[in-house]
Amino acid sequence: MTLTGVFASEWLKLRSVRSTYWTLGVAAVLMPLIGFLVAHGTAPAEKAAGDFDPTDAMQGAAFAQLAFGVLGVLTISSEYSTGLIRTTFASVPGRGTVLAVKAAVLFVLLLIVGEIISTTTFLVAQAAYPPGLGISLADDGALGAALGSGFYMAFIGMFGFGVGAIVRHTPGAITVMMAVVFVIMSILPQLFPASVRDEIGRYSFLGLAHGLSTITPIPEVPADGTSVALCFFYAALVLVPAFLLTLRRDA
Amino acid sequence: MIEVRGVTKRYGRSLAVDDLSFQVRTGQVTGFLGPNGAGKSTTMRMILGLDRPSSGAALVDGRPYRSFRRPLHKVGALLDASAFHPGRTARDHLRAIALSNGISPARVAHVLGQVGLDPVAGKRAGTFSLGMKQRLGIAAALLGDPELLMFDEPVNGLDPEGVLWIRTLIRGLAAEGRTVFVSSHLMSEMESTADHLVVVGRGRLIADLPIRELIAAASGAHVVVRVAAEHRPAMISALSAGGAQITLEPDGALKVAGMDAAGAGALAHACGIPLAELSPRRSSLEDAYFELTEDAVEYRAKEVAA
Repeated sequence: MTLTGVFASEWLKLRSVRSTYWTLGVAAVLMPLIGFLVAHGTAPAEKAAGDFDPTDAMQGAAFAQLAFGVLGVLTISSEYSTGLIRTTFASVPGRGTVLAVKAAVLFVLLLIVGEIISTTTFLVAQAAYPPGLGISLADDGALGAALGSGFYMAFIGMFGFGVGAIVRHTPGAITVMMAVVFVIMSILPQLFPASVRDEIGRYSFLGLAHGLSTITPIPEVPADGTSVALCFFYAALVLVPAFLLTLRRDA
Repeated sequence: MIEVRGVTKRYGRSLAVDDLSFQVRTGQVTGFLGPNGAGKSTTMRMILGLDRPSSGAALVDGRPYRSFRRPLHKVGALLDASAFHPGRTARDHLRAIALSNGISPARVAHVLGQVGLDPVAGKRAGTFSLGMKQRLGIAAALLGDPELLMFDEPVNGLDPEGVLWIRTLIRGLAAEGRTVFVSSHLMSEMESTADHLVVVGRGRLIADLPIRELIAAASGAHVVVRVAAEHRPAMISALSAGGAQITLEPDGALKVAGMDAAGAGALAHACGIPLAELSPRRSSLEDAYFELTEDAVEYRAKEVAA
């Protein structure tokens, strides 16, 4: 009964502020648009050259993930920066419950919206490819590729949530989240010697995003199952400390 | 009842609350008084289970606050008037709090009416004036119809109308039999609302007494007697014969301690001395409070050398 109430409360909080609509709206416009432009600009000759992958059009996820990450941060950091968190914890003293429910509500929303956006992007892009290049959802591995990006973006959102709960300060948390997503997990592998670069790159966020959205298994990226497991692992790296700190710290 | 038992709160090297013990008795308005930085807000947060005491315990009805499953039915608190998401409407803000404690939407509508925010319930709270924010915070505190209310500096920054509204509200809540624990750094706020005072300074308990006792204990209560200059010597000897201590003021008035106005008036009458002035002077609570906390003010402006 109380738990139901906490769920209803957190769901209301999420849908009663504009930042939710702004962030998800930006992702919903940007990703299909980029998908359309990439597909539309692909020359039929590229297929002959052999370096064509119909899921290249999913690369808009690299931008959309930011919007998801920001929403994840805001979901928790806005409560700390306004002081609302004290009202929340005074209403529900079980902090672990509050944080778990917040995370669950956010994850479900991000996953649903993420899948809608990535599937839409897939369909838009495949229709925009020059004749003979596009594939259908029924093709081998296509559904996995369409859904993979949505899952990946929801994961980035949860990563942002964990960072937000640790940092508790909106600009600081967004900066940390971006630094991790863009710098540490994307560019950093490039700084390593070529011999290990690929090995490290496979496990970077970029590698995960690529692996989850590509249709053809390629050696540079982990298999889908491994990628999903890695997403949960990386999320746990921030969510576990976030929980421990929330239980321990003064609000 | 709130019970604070030997609570100490340390932040690094600084001591915010130092072995503080007091009780907030049921059915009274207890004023929590002290200069800024005395540890009042920290103490309130510890009572609500938000901050953990370094040692000691703060209990509500003998239990830690965190052990309540739906605490809003027991305690309503206003800590910070701006503790809401500025983009959320007043109604949604209250509904979100209400849902977590199984409180009905009808109750949300009721408290919105009670604090007079009905007409702006659908507006984003970020657009509210300070007075409206305060009302929203009070509405949140009232949601669970709690028997115990805690307000941290509720009148800070409010205009006279807002101050009056809060005072009336607090008296009203007390009249309904609720327990109110309200903090302030201004004695004048307490004079008209509190039954009992807990005074702190630098995190330590300075006084814990009914407000009446503080008034009585306030040193310097005296009577001013003014008579024509030719009657002054006779008046002085009559008063000192009556056991009063007399100080002659520069303007010729007699400051009489140890005797009340009625006594001084009767003496003058018995001696046939016409009185030009007979006025009881109560040392103000503000003075009494200032005396109490004089040594405990943390940040005092140093006098600027001319």
